[in-house]
Amino acid sequence: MTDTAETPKMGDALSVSNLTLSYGGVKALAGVSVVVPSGEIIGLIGPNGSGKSSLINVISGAYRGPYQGEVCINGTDVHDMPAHRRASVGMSRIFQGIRLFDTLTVEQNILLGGHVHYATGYVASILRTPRARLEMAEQRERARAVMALFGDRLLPRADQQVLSLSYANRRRVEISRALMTAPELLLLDEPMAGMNPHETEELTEQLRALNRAQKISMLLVEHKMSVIGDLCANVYVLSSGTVIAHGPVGMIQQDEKVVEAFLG
Amino acid sequence: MQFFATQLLNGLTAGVVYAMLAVGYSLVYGILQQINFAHGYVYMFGTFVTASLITSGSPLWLAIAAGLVAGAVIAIVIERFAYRPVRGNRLAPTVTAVGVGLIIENVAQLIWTSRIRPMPFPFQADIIRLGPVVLSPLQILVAAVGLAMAALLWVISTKTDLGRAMRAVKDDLATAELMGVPVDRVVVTVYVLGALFGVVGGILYGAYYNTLSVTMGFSGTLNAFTATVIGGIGSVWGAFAGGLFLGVLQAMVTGYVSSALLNTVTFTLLIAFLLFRPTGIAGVQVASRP
Amino acid sequence: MMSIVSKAALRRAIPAIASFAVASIVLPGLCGTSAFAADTDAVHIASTAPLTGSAAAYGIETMNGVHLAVEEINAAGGIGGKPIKLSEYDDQCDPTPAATAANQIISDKAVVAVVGNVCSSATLAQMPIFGRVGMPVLAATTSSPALSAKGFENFARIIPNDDIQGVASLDLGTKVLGYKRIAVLYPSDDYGQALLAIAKRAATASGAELVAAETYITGSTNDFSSVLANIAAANPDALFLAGYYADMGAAVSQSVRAFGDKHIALLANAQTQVPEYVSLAGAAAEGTWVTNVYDINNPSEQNKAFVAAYTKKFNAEPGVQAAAGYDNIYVLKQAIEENKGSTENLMPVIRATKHEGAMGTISFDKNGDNIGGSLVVLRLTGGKWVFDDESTKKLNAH
Repeated sequence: MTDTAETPKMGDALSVSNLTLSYGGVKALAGVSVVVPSGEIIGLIGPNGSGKSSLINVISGAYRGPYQGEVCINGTDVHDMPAHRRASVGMSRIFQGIRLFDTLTVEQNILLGGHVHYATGYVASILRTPRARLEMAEQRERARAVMALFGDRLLPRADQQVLSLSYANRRRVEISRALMTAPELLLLDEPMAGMNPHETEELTEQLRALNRAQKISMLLVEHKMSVIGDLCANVYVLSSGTVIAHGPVGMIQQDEKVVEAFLG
Repeated sequence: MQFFATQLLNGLTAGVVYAMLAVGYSLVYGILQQINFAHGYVYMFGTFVTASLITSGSPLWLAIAAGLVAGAVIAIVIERFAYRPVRGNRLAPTVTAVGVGLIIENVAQLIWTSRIRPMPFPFQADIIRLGPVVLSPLQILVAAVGLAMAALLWVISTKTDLGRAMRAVKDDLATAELMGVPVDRVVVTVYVLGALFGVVGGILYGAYYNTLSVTMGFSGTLNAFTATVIGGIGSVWGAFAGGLFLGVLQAMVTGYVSSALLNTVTFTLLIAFLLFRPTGIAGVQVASRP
Repeated sequence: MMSIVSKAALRRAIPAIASFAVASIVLPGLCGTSAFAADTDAVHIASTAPLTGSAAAYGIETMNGVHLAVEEINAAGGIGGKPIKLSEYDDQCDPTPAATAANQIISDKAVVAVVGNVCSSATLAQMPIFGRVGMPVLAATTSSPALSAKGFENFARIIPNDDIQGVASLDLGTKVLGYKRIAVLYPSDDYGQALLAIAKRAATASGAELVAAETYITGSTNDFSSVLANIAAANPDALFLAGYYADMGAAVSQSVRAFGDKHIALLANAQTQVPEYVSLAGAAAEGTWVTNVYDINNPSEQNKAFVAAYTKKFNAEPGVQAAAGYDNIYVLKQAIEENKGSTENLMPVIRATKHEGAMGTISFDKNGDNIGGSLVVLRLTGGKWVFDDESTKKLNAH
């Protein structure tokens, strides 16, 4: 996966250019361009139905239909890349409504994020060869390290079924699972939704720490402007499928078009 | 007491064979919520490969290996060309499965004719005495293979990334894919596993009962399917339990009631479970997402 | 009760294909008219057998036997000095062409008897048509009990019907071999149910006891272990295999485990006498007793002569079809001779005939059924079906 030095997007974790997407004749996205420079947290805001989730779905591969334009993750055009391969170029995501594997435990859910990096084949895994055991032990070690990012929120609950967890903890499991894929780019679709102010504050700090310590770039969709203000240097504003404004948070909040889009 | 022990052993032996076949249905249903109607034909074909190689003088290990490989290859081909293109559709896979099954049966008839054939196997005529109870070395083999296959299933489902991925795909296929799980590979592996369990069951069946026919692809799977429903379709442990339960029940009905009631009992049980306890004895509620 | 109708009159009244409705209106007026118009030059016999279609092989082999007998008889001066003249019809083993053939036969006033029938369904369609003119039918290998159960007055057949064969398989065990405790393994279909009923009757009649009756579903049961355990637990002397050869082969193969050291004799019917049974059942089949309607190795003088002549003429070994066709003509010859050369009112004479033929001793009951005196006994010995002369004689003596 070595990329050529000539690629202009080199250095950007994500670059979406001129993305156009229609569902049955209705344009969901019209010529959207978004860049997440490496190591930055970029905000994405907009009224309901403005195309935020559509954008996230195209980037992550959840949307499989045709689109025009270009989506590059870490300099790789992902147009023909099946969803499960995108994790291997360093992208992972969480979902607007939490999507966990309900019959698995906390630890198993998180371990699943590591599958993309497994070197052990199925047969070796069934035969439990020394190498397979070693890799499995390593993965569990990594999973514990990821859980440790959330203090003692998840570690004591590692063997519980995810269904028995609180909403906030379920969200933490989902983020942990995404982190387990060792992403360079994280797509966060309203991670604070449904959390109380204290939990929101805690998660904000944890995301900031992740960004600083592990240099993980993020595209953050969020309704709470305080969170956007805390975390993001730059913000894109989507309305009716187009980017109507783009820039630092303070500037965006003054933009007439933005005010109109949110109030109108 | 001796009669009871004999019938119990007969029932358990048949039960292990049913269980092997039932696991094949349950594995596939468990992750795709689809009844793999081609399963019976796949196991029939693999078993016939083994039987005809034994008859033509191949070493036993080679014949068994070839049967397993044949079953696996057919499963891969069917998954790739008959199931994957229509995955997600509720009805289409059933139609393609039945079509593929008929093709396999016709090919098998062309190769092996529709004559009923024996399957020579070591120990077929040997008996072991345990006090008053007569036992066949093959019954011990059937039990040992049954245990080994159960152990294999246990290792896969609890100790491997494959097992974890299977459960994740079952819970939410799309999310599993987005989290980097190679879903196509997991699905085809499950079909292959199902086929291998089926062929193992078929070989045990042929070895123990010494009679094979091309039509066993359809008729022979009735019991396996009933066992799957009794056990709770989608649960592999339910399939094991359902297989053993059905085998023992049939032996007891034959032994203590009447062999004339065997089909009546089997079908009544199937219908009763479908009507009153569709989740089977395992009671698994297959997770469904809106 | 059946009136004999002048064929000439019939021909005037009803051309070639007569419907029953027309016949029932016309016939009363024709009753009592004179009998067969005499053809003094020859004995005219018609044959109806499948010469084309799926059963053609059986029909052709039957006709080979018929031809051989006709040739021999004519070379030796015919019947009472008159040669046999054979007219052959093809019934295709199908009721519709069979009815057409029957109508053609009854329109030929010279024909005195019909021989050669192979298929029960075709013969059932023909019998009412032949009955209208009282045409004697001496069938070859039709074996359905339904044919004689209908009470046709003009019907007799060369081979014992399925019921009589079934009784004989059981009688071999009880009356000849002296077994007292009999178990039965039968398929759950009509065929199996019928054989079970026969076995029950025959066992009771011979003073033996039916100690176990176990059933299975043909085509889907391959696991016989539980029913065999039941049979073993009932402690029988003999097991009557009243099913299809493939199922019986599987069951016998599995019986080694169920029966252990118990010696349980195996009695089977004719259809088990095939190589597939032996290959499926393996060593456990050794010693299986079978009754059949014919065996090429029957050492009787009549059979030896028949086999030699047949092999010389056709360069092939005769089977049951050929033997039945051959005996068919000789029984008819003997009946006409016993009727002092007359072909009038032939059926009562045929039914009273006792003939030593290639198959064995052929004699009939009041329904025209071969009573089973010609059945042969074979035993699987060293993987081969061997004719058992002593048991055959004992069985036929009963």
